[in-house]
Amino acid sequence: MSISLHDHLRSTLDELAASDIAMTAPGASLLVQQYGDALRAGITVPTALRKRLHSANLETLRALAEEAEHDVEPAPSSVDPFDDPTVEFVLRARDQLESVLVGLRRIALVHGLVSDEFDPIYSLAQALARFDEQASKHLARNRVEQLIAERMSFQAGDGWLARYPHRDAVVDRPEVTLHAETFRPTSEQLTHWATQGVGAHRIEAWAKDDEATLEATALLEALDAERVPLSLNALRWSRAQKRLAQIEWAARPKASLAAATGTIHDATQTRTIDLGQLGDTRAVGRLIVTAAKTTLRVRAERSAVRSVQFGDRTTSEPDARDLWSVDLDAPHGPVELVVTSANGESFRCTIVIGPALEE
Amino acid sequence: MSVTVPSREFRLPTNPTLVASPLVLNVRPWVGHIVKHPLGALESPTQWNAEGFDRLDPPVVKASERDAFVTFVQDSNARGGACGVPSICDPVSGEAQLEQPLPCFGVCPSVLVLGCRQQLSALSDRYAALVDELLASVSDGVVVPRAKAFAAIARAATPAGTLDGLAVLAVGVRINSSYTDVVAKVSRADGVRVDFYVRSRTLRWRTTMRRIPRSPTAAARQLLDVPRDDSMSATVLVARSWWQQQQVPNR
Repeated sequence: MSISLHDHLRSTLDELAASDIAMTAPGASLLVQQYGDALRAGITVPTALRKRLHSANLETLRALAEEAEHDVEPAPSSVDPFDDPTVEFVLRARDQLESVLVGLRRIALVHGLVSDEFDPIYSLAQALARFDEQASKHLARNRVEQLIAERMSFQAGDGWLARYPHRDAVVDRPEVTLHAETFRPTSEQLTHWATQGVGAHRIEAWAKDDEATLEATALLEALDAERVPLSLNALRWSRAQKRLAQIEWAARPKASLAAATGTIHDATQTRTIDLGQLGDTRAVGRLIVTAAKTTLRVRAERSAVRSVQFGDRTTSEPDARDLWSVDLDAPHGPVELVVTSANGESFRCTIVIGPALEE
Repeated sequence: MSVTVPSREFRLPTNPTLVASPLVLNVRPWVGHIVKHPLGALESPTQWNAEGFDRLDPPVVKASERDAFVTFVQDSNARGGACGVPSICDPVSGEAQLEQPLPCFGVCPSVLVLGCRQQLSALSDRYAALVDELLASVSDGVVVPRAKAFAAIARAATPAGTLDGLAVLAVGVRINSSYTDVVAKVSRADGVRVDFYVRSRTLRWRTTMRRIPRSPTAAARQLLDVPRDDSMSATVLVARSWWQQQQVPNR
């Protein structure tokens, strides 16, 4: 990102922080968009503005997500390769709504919600994915990169651009190439990986360097000390540094021990573990642990995933909401979790759910 | 048969001053832009008015004009013409143009291009007038830091129509696979946009298009969407009357 673009964004954030635009105001979506831009660019958001954004309640979040979904433009049904400012506009608007999505997801997280299980945000994400599915029939990725121009600087990892095919030879992609060669995650990108697993491929490649390993390890330790849940990707990376093969959570409610001995089984006690993005798949996972069973729920577009395996059970079909669910009767030992992408690549991880610790 | 866009000189109070001088355009690209934008040649025949030039007040194009144009082209083809725009030649089953520039811009026979230009005479005048209209709306504009304009426009992005009449000129850079252009965009809140190439502080018309905003916030996004940074991107030129109505102090 050029310095001037950073400066523009900072100035805009300062102006918005000083403004009286409330989160319930009609223009609040533009605040969220700038917030998303800042998160994607790794720019610190003024405290006053961040507090205002985080004060949005669920009804407000719902309204903002629905408005953004309404604003998703129809995808271009054809492209004039000679010169098409219309397509340029539509693609840039699409990326602006990506920032709205990123901003809403962060606010949802503040409310303790994994955003993709909050229907309006999930619905917005789906609308954007449908746009990409249609637009990618006509647009190669390098053309999209040119059209969104300086907004390429907001891309963390492949992001939504991964949905576009590499079709054309690239004659001139100066900034994009430069970014790939000199990638260094911003603190926001690093935190995004640590807590939501996003950008694993690029960040873990960067973290192979000794200094970067220390930086990433320090961040994970700091978050863990604050009891911030870490993504499965971050935990997996962290265990690999320590030559550990599996990831353990002390999460099974105590009632399971009682159930094992035939006493009263309290099925209402559940523990939820948000896994975040699984490897570099386009899938987000969650474990729901009760005394009697563990459920793996994976959120992924039907077209993005071939199968989800949890222990000895496999599902090859999501439900109508693109949720892939596998139940296991309270496993006591290590369990393998495998998500196979549509392209045949698999994400594998071995996990253990142990008894919850006494509070 | 040629067209002059804009019809007169506009000096814009940017820093440095930008000048939009009358420019005589070739018939071929001009017809191409009319066929592409107000007549919606890249859309399916049933969606020809997706850009909404028929919903401006006054409309730039009417459905009856498009019908007459389609009839003209089909008659030309019946007499041996060679129009290669599927959505115009075959309005029932014509698919949108894919992967190729519109033939009007290059391969269409000149005699047909000239015929189209004549047929589209009234529409051409109204389409050209939009360029003057948008330049006039910012010609006495106020130079405002982009961040300040963003906050003001975000505050005004309400369903009450507070953005109505607002036009903004922004300068940025457009990059293609083999070249880079400095471009200026004048955007109006109703989604009409005129793009110019900037050459030695002179504006040269590039296109006029419209994208009807889907909400007031979408309108605000359109108004402020400036491509890649240029040295002039730190500020935008905002229509003075609107800025004053907002009672936002000018920096």
